[in-house]
Amino acid sequence: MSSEQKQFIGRLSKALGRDRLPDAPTHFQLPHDVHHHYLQDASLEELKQTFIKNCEAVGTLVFQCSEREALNTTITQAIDHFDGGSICIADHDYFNNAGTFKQLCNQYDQVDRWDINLSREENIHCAEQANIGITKAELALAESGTVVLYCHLGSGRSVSLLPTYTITVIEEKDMRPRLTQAMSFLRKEKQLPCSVNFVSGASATADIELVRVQGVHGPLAIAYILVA
Amino acid sequence: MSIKTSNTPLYDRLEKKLCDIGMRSSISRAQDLLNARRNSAFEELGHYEEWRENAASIRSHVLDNLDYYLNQFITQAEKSGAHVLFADTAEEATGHALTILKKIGAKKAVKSKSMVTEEVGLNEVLEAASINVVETDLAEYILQTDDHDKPSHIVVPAVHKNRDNIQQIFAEKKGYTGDNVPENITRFVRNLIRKEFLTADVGITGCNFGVAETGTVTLVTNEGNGRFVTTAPKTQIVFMGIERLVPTFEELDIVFSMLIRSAVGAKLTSYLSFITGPKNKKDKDGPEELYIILVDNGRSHILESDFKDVLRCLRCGTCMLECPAYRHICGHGYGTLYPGPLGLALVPVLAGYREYGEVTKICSLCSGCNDVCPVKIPLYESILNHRRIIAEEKHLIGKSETFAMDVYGRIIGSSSLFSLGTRFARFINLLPKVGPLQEWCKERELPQIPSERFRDWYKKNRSSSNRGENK
Repeated sequence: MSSEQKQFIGRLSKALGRDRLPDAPTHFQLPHDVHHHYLQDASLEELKQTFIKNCEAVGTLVFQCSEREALNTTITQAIDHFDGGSICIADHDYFNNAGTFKQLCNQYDQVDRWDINLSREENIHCAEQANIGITKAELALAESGTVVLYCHLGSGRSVSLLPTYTITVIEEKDMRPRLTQAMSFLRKEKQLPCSVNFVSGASATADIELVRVQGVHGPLAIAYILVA
Repeated sequence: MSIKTSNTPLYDRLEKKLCDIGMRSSISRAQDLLNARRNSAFEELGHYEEWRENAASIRSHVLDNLDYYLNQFITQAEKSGAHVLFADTAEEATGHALTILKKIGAKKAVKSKSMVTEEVGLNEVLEAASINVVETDLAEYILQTDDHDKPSHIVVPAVHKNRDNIQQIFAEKKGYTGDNVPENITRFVRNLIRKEFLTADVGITGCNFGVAETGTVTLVTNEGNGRFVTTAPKTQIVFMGIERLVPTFEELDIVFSMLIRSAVGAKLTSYLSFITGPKNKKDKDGPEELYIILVDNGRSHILESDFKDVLRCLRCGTCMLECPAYRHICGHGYGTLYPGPLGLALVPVLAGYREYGEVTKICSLCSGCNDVCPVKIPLYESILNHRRIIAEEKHLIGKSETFAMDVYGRIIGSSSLFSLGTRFARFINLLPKVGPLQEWCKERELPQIPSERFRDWYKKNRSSSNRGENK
């Protein structure tokens, strides 16, 4: 511990009436466990229906894909919903195994993949110029229509932020009731990614007369693809 | 900006705000709408009191162990590659930021909304050093464009302006030629700020909560500017108040669930961003360098005072939305960065009674704020305690008030003076016209004091009644 840190922390210890930094915090237990009750015994179908309802409430589109083989077709439907245009897709094993990139290249004029062999500027430019960004979620939360996105080598933070529209693919097995389960999940991660984002709708503001407007600095609209 | 947002004397400020009908109507509408949304969000969640108790107990536990958790946070943040800097004062905090910006030769910084950067007066320091600071939250951008107008609420800072005001500001300052429709104004700003994001050298953010176990910095945003600021620039600076910690992600769940519902009546905001260290070496976006500036600026002093509970605050702004005084004077009436009940409880102990004692008079002590605070801060009791300290310990109330209370005490303490005083009390009816109550009576009516005292009336009537009974 640096002397500066020692002095800084020491002042807090003193303010708390002790001579030195304790070895452990005092015992703590939450007085209630209400946060575990929400959709505690819900079936996957119930979680899905709650998720879809909450997505629709904030204008997020949900496409359902009954089998993994139909993934690329469903992605195409979502892309067409946003009028096509240039696409930036994450370099993710899930998409690579499904041959998504190849199929999109055959169907659309301009398709780019987040590429660690390109420079920082080239990757950010590609995402910024894209009409549609496509990513894969780690988790989805029913209560708030949320997807949890990890930043990794194959998918920078930009892919789900800079394009005009974004599409996120979710596997049904990754559906959880609420934030509570997502936080437990994160806590168990051996190596936490440097950036984790919980996305619950398009970027939005209510700063002018509290009128909700979608599309401030991030995507104007977003869609999820729920894969069985 | 620092804690002080106005040099106008308190009563002149209040007079001005009370006459601002447009502002009062905007604030009333905002209070009613956001309160209704909050009530509905908590109704859907259920078990409101249990959730509050959980959130309050987490925050109290953190404060009781703040040295331990802050030390743990520093250790973990450094392990993840962040540089942690220590600031006892506002000057030290801004000094650290300036040193970093100068070191990398920064010309432009983009900022997402952060109360603590306002508290330490960061923008003024950077602008004085010729660094272009761009506020990227829409409301903050509106205020910055409007010649650095002051925020009126901590969550919705431009709530005192209507769409016509905003249209006019952008037309005059940025060449906006569109109408007053919020969607169109927002698109215009989106295009302006996007260029700034992509060309900025540094991103500056606050920190809603730090997670001690992992050294993670978290941001709660809706617009996506928080994400942009932490994605495009190569350097990120985080300003974090030392009390803003939770032990682990599991407690963060409770705190966020309460913060977001209380602040905007939503289950979650569009974005929660968790940043643990700078980007990995091979990542192609995100900050290459991450600096976390820990700001004390009086907080350790509060920790050992009777006002420690105020540090539990989540900065949701709910107390302001519930406050009847805030409804009439908005954040500007307080003249402090932190307005409303939170401001009155926090600012005197954070920045001193001499300058910020008088503002505590704004509170009507209705205690409505206590009932809605998601972490059960005894706001009303804290404000009352400040008033007691101002009068009894600091002796900071004005001479005329001291004299008046002294005269009042003497009259009340003597039966002959009380009798004499009440006999002439009817002359008080003249005070709204000539006396010191002239100001007070502009918007209120002083109850009329009858010419006959109750005790005289009672004596007279009881006597006649007794006579009647005897017949």
